[in-house]
Amino acid sequence: MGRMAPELDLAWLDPSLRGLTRRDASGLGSGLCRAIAERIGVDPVLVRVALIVLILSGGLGIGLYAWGTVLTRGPSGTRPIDSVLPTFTTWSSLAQKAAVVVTVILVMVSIGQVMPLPWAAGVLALVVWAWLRRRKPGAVPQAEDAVDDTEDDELLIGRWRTRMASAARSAAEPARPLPTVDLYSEPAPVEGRKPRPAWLAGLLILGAMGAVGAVLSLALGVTPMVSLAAVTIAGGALVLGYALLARGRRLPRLILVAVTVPLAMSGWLATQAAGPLLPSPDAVTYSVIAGEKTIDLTTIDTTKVDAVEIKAVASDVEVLLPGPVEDLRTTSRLADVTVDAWPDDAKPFDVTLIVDATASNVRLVVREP
Amino acid sequence: MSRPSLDVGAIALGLSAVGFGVVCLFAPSLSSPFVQPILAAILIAAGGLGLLLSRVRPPKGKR
Repeated sequence: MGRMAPELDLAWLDPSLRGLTRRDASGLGSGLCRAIAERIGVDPVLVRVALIVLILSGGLGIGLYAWGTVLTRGPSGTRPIDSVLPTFTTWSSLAQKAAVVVTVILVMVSIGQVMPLPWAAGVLALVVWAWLRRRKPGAVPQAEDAVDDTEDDELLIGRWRTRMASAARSAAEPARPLPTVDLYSEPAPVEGRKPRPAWLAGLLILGAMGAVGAVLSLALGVTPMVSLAAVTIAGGALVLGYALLARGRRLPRLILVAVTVPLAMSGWLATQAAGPLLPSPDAVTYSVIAGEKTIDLTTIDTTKVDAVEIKAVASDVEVLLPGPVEDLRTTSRLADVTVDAWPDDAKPFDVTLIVDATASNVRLVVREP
Repeated sequence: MSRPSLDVGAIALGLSAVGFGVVCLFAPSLSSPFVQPILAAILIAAGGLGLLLSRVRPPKGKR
């Protein structure tokens, strides 16, 4: 029999989560938040809010949720990691933990490339939480489950027998008295009716959101960013109103997922579009958010302007230059900044050109005035 | 027969969507260091309200 590392689970972070099982995976997620909430005795909404805050901490929550899901047993009693990566359990404990840490860091770095988010507070909160939970009296000490690879199987079996004997002793303690049932009392009130799914209302809400976007962008000609904001507000208000007024029916979770798409896009665009770019009076700034634009710099007065900054987010931008730029600084995230070949005889454009592109196509073209 | 409980998930999502939409609408006039804390505060407020609503139960006539 070969040596195997102990099964890595969430007890690594919190000893009280040892052997956690996701009993109900019928919701939107994997059931991890609900399982954690039941184990530590809090409302699942609280755990979900904490997860969202961790997700906003540089994407830390995404990596943790993914690993937490694959390392815990689902309703079928198996861990997803055992079917996805069967050799994982043969790795040493240190290698398993290293894989978790490295992949979480990679996820955070990848997300940070697209959307810079503050991560230090989330990481610090997680470390403090794990430290406090490990120090909690009554929690299983971490050292107990850290098995040295050099230990032999006889020692492992002996430790397992000791734990079983300890559990049997605790099971032999006097049981709590059974509750008294009065058969002559009035029946307890029936729990609330299970609400029926409201697919038609959900589809009408999605249709109304689409209509708001179409009217604003096509008929009224407002910018795509304002249209997106209006669509998000309309969707949120309709979902909120329906949830408050129609308690007998419940919007399907799939409809709510669809509403989260413009919500996430609004949050991302808001972080990208906020604030002035360069407060300097000697600089000219252009910001293109979710649109198409041609920026003509051929008529700019270089005696009064030292720098030009162009910020493009989810946009297609063409920049017309009077000549080759000597000081060009580009920052691109999931973006394509292309420079057409400079003409040899063109007069240089004597400004500092800063291009900050995110999920955009930016093309620099020389057009002599 | 008691009434069904509130759909706290939809309420929290609706509040978040309204808040995010408003922030997106006024983002160009907001200072960039404040946007993410505002979005986080919206999420926390919406989640906290959902948590409070999930704790509020109608009286069941317990005897």
